[in-house]
Amino acid sequence: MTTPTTAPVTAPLLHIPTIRLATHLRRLGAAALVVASVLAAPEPARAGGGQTAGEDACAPDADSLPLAGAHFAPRRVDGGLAWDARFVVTSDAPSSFRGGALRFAAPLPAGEELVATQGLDAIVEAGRVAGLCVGEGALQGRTVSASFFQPLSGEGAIALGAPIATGRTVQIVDTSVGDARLELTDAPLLEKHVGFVAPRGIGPGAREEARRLTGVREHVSASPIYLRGEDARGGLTVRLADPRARDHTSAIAVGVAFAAVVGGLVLAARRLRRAASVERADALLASEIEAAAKGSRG
Amino acid sequence: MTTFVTLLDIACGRPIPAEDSGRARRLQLVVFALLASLAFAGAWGLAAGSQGAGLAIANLYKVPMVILLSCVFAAPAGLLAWRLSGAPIRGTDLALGFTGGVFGGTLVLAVLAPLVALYYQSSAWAGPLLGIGSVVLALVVGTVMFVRGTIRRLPPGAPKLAALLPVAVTLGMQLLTLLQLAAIAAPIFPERTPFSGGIDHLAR
Repeated sequence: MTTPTTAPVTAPLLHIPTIRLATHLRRLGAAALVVASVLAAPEPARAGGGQTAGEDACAPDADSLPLAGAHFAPRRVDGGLAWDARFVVTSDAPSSFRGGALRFAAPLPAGEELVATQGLDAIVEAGRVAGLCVGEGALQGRTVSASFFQPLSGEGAIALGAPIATGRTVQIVDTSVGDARLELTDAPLLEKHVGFVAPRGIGPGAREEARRLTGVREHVSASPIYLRGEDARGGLTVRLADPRARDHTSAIAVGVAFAAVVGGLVLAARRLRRAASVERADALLASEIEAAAKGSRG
Repeated sequence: MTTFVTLLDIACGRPIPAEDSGRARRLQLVVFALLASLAFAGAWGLAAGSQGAGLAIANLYKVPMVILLSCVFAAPAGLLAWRLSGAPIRGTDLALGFTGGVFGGTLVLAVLAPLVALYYQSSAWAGPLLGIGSVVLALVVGTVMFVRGTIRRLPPGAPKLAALLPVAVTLGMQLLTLLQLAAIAAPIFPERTPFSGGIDHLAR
């Protein structure tokens, strides 16, 4: 605690307050130096995170996050969409990982921001989140979890707010948002299949591997998007399709069909009435004649 | 009343009287069976939605619509299967068996409607259970009546299996269309049911 050389051993009791004061001053001075050095350092374009990601996480020579897979799930929140992202690193990464940068294939839409997460900072370029500074502490096992908030205003096409990482790693974007669904509006590289959307280059094996790495279960009705960073380089646009609105349109068509069928049935009943009564009368008459003939024979 | 009794007889699988076996009369019975089914379905819809005036009024046309359109969508597949399988049964007999089944099923719904309404008004959990239960019972009764009516109208010695193929195709088509039509028409019950979201919801 105290430095023995700063106080004479012969007068211990008198000098103890003086020694403590000197120690406190030294500590204050050291703290002031640290604060001054931090303030004087060049400001990196970081935003969002509640705690810094680590000093070297986003340095120019910092490693990039060795990504093996990623999964993005949207959910409805007040005023927009929340994107829950899980980035899975390669199996050998956790032992050697000391922080790194994760660049997105395209900057996130304007207004989308990182929800404060320990060990994560947003890399902001031209006012848009273009990547993440991932600190050592942000890696939980093999997973880095982050949440983003994408504000929504009005209807129509919107930019896909999933933070798709750059590179060739196959990533999964969920499209179910509660009862609604995100539908790609303009993505020529991505093909719509039964139960999923993917570019031609991602085969069943790659999809299975992506699901295995991220722990995503396959659902017939989920229709996720499998893609790589290069497939989303120019940014993707989606439309939030509400099944209730679709059902409303279908219900009108079904209602019109119903009215037409009922009208047809009523018309058929009217037309058949006369023919049926004639048929019935003929049959009754025939049976009466037959009965009378039997009676006369008997 | 005569027509109603005749329809009940047909639904029970009894032989069609000679005076009702003409083509026009058979078609008339088919049409009457469908129109009567609409009324029965409307009565049940009213009961199932009796917790709110809006839902009750909407159900007056939604439930008949679901049932009638499912019949209309299923009939062509059944007729094609009948033609292709060479089933030893007249087309109008098959149509009468089908509409007899629909008539019987919706009649079950109609007679259970007061019970459904009463329980919806007086119980939080029994109402929905009874509502869904009555639908399941109606489906079972309708299926049994259709199958029985078709088999009983087969000529003596005719193979039953060939006649059951168009029956199975018609029933399968009707169930599949019912599932999605019910989802499009939802809400029919005041609560969200497993069938409210259609096949997507069931497959989830």
